[in-house]
Amino acid sequence: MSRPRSNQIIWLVSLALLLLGIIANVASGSADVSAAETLQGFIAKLQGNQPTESAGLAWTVFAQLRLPRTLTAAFVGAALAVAGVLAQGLFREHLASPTVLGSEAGGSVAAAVAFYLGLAYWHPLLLPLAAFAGASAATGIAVSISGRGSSDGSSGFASPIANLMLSGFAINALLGAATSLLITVALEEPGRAGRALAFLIGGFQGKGFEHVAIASTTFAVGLLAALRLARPLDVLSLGEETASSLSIDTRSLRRWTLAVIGLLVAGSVSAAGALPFVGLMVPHVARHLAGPSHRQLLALSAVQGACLVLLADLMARHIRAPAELPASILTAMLGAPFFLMLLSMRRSAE
Amino acid sequence: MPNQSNLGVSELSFRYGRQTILADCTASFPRGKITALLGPNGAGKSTLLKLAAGLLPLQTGRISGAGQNRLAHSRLCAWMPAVTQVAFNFSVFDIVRMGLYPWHLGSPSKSDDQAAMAALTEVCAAELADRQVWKLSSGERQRVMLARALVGPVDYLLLDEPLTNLDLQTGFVVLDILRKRAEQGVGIVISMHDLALAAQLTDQFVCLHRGSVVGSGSLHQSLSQGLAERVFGVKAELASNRWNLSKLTTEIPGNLTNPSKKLP
Repeated sequence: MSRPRSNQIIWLVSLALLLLGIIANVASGSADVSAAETLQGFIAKLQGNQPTESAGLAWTVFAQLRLPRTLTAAFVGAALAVAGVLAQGLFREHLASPTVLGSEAGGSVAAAVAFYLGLAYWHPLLLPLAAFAGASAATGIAVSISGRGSSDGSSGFASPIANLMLSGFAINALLGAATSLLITVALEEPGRAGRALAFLIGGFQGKGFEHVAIASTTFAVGLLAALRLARPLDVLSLGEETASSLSIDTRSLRRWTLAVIGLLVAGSVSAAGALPFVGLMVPHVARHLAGPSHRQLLALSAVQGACLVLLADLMARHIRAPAELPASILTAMLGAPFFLMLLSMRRSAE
Repeated sequence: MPNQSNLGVSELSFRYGRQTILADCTASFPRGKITALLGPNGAGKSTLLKLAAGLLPLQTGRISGAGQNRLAHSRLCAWMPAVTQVAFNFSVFDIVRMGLYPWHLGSPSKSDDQAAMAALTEVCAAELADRQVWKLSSGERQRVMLARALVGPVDYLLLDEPLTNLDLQTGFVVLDILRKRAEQGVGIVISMHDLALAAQLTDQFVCLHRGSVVGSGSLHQSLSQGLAERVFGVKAELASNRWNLSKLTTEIPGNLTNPSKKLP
């Protein structure tokens, strides 16, 4: 019904950008290796031959360092963008996102604490589980506080977005204090606490295939679940009561949507830490391009989220080369002004 | 049809916290009739409609003729709020098709598309199909939301002030549509303020005042017995100039005191 031609172009451009992003990320890094050498190394590996020293090194750099790093960035970006679409759909609000709701901070602080306490060594799944618990708890608290005192006393879902954002702000401030505490400990005890800090400062340095595994699994499960929520979320944009009059169990829709957001955020923070505002920017841009229908929006946001985070990591590696910046700084520097711009546009529209 | 009994409420009470919104309301909404739900602002009309639509938890009382579960009730009656804020800028067509969600449950087919276009045509808004909902005027939006409520094959239409924001002509178009639906056997409940219009165009009425039913049945009869004076604080006079058309003039009395004080 709506603009099939332009949608095709948007998809083609987005997928081309994704491919370009992957190539650019795989091709860049501090080690000086060429594509030809990497290919030689790969062919030699395939044939079971001993590659030349430079080709062998090039292949190792590609397969052990650059490929997992690039894939982690792509999956994390996609997951956060999908989580952002869900958050905006659930709260019926363009300004909602996992960052604003505190779920990213909650997830990353929980992951950092779990890591510091050594839970991650005990069983590898404990880290994402802790992140899931942290993300869900932070958002749950923000939502339930903002619902208190609303006229019908029902929930934060019907309360004005200002309430929700203020309680999200409070939760974020609290988690900021937890972060400062961890930094203080890390200064005294650089080893484990120092590494735990990596969850608070999101980035992709040194990511391996175990991170790809976490990020890709949670993304795949999360996206499939999100697509099942897409149509009910469309109807929810008519308001909670109208959706309810159209046979949607809004309470269960809420619970499931929050759970899927928690899963996606948990997967991405346990793989790469917090990357603020990805979940705010990407859905907004994708909605502007392809319309508000959630099914299409989820898929397109996943692709564009991957593009954005790949770009952020690429910039993070080049701005102060050979030293690296964490990619989270880049997404925050892009995202915060974006958020403020949305806020001011919203005010002028009212 | 598994369920052919009329939708109705009996001894229904509802409170938000300490505030009583509805107290012991009993009313029946027959199929094939247009029922006007009348009453001053804050009388509890919207709450009654929401309860009948199954959108609020039942506290005291009973709703008769309701569907067995949420889905069955959604297929039985469509509800339209006075104002719909659409969170995202969907196309008008998409919005109307959402009205069929209880039937297609998320995978609309060709016939759903056709039904959506037919509903838009019915409210004289077919040309709006591709427009974005945020760019509509309030009257256009009201028509689109009405199409959203009309699109499904429901037995009941529960419409909260469907005539607000409509110009006179569109208002009559809408009433014609509702009349046609009623003739097809659909039960229609509309909350409204215009007593004259209600007397002219609806079959029966239920009047709420401060959460209680203070009148029901034939509006002509009740108006001649002073309903308007008691509840709305206005004077109603019937001046019939043709045998089938009764024209009602309502005028605000000289000293408009708080009308509720006159109630027992």
